[in-house]
Amino acid sequence: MGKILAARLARLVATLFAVSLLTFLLVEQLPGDPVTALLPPEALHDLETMERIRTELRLDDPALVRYGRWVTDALQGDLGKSYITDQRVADAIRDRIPVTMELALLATVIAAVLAIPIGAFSAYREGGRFDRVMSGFTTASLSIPAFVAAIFFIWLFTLKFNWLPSTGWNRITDKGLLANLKTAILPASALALAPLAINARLIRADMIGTLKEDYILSARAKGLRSRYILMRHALRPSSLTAITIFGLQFGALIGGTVVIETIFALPGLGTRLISGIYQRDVTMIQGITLFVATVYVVVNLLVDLLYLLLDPRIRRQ
Amino acid sequence: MADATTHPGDAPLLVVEDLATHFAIDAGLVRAVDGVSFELYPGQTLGIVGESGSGKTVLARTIMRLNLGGNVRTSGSVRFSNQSLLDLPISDMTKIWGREIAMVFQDPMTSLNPVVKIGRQVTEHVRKHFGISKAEARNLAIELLQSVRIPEAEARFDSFPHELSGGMRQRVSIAIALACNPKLLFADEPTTALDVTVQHQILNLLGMQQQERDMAMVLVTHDLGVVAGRTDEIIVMYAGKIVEQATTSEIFHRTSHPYTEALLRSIPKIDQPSHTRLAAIAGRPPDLADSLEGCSFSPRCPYAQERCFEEEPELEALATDHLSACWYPVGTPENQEAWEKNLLAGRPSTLAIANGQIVDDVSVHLPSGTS
Ligand SMILES: Nc1ncnc2c1ncn2[C@@H]1O[C@H](COP(=O)(O)OP(=O)(O)O)[C@@H](O)[C@H]1O
Ligand code: SF4
Ligand SMILES: [Mg+2]
Repeated sequence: MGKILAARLARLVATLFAVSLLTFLLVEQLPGDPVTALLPPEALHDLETMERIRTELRLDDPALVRYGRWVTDALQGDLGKSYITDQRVADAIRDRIPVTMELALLATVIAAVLAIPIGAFSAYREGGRFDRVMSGFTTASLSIPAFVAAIFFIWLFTLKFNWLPSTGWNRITDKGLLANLKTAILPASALALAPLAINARLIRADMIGTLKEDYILSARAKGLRSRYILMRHALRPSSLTAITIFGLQFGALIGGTVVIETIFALPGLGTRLISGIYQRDVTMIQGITLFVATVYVVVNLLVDLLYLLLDPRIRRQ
Repeated sequence: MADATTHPGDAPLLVVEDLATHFAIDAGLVRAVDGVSFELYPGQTLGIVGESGSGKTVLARTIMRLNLGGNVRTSGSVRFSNQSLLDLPISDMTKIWGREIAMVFQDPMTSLNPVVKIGRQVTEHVRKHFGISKAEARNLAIELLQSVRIPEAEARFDSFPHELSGGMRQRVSIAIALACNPKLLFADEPTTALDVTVQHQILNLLGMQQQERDMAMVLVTHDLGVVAGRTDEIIVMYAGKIVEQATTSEIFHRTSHPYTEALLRSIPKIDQPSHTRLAAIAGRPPDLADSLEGCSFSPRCPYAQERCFEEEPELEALATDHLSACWYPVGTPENQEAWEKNLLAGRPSTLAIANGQIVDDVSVHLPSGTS
């Protein structure tokens, strides 16, 4: 257990090192003077500002030294500041992350909660009508891009029924949970569609395997009811795999909300990243990228640990 | 033990009549069980013996109505406590499973759920069948684990299966099967997956529990040595059919069927070093999807004559309580004649035994028929 933990931590550090280096080199790879990359075009004739920034950032130092400085600052929570908006990158992230986090979490929960019964029941009656209908549904969900689903949801729930708003965001802290969910549910559902389909398929496949196990037959031979066997004996082993997948999906969604946030005009990290890209706001792009990558690998690590914690076969070793 | 099979006073607990289980597969029809009949009285032990693939597991599961897959066809009848099991809806079977009829499976490594605690696995069905409380279930579980001789039963309640050895796990499986005091226990090769030393402990445990609870038991095994001295009656199965059926002592002392004789020859000897090669039966069991003419053992039988390849012998009574399906039963002059004819003709399966290529030290059962 301790050994596994150490190995996972080493891998985490190595991954973060690689990611941060690549992110940092983004700037280095841009043609010309780094200062020109950092500043908006209209500031480029202002030689005084350029000189000030050059000394402020000590841009004459070698790239590796500057990388070291950037990482050291980042470790202390300082990701620099935008030379376009003058905002500190860490502040921007702190401001935007709740929206993205909530979307990702909500989407993961929707995908998980629906996938478990769908997958379990499809497996239980493999080849039955429910299984075939769901197989059609998952195929469709996987072949439709999230933004198409989003547009469909907007058409259905906003334009046709007028149940939910199509844009904007109510913060829980301002308007309460219900108003918040009203703005979150459509984008989260659009995000959840693909992971839901993947989860349902994985759980189905896993359960079909589990249901063939001897211990399922012995559970039947004890006279236990089908539903009980399904929930207690079949889903349990599968849920270990499932939890891992849910965690990975959550991590991936943190960086995967860009398109949906844009369609629904949500004040999340994704839209901030996009505006950063349009404005060539390099520090912002670097900061957000590093942040998202870090969240992703940390979530991965936590998922690994959770798996170790949940599987009694590993836990006791 | 085991001279009297019939209990005139008692009604049989289980009556199996002309039971057949066939699987439709691409290659044809697999006749895994093909016309099996027998009776079992309360508190009695029946051994079902045969090589791997002879249909023992399918027979046991057909009787219990445990799912065998979608391509299965079953005919015949199974009466248990005067209920016709094959006609019951599955919802009624769930009231019988675990409570009236229980099963111990072959491999304790796979028949226990690896992620469910032992305590729950031992009691969940008792709670379902009898509606006892959690606390009562816990006490019962500990009692049961103690009765199957699991040390530190209390601590084991919260263990997971992988924390126990194979033998201990099989004890847990037995505790599970006994939990509701069933009237009938199927033990399907309960010791095949275990070490030799553990095998005897487990068999003794099963025998003790069976007597204590006055429970009927069907002990399924490929090893005649396992049932020796532990059963009242034995059924020898080959290719889905009963080829010999008699009291245990009859089977051992007045072996009639050449297949039974071959099985006796292959019993592992306790006094042999464990690496001694066991006497195998020459050849393999037939492919059940091909329909074979004549006696299904004929390709491997050292006594096989022309008639054996053409006509299938019926199961017939040699004596009361002794049935055998063979044209040239072991111990008869006809058998002796067949043996000599085959020796002269140089039939390979006959020569193999005569030349001792197949170890044969069960002197009472020398194939010469002189005993
Ligand atoms: N679901 C199935 N489909 C087709 N054939 C099967 C199926 N289950 C068992 N069989 C066949 O039935 C025969 C008897 O199997 P089994 O009862 O397991 O033998 P035993 O328990 O005596 O070793 C074997 O030939 C096996 O391949
Ligand atoms: S002697 Fe003939 S009938 Fe008897 S087992 Fe051998 S082959 Fe079958
Ligand atoms: Mg078997």
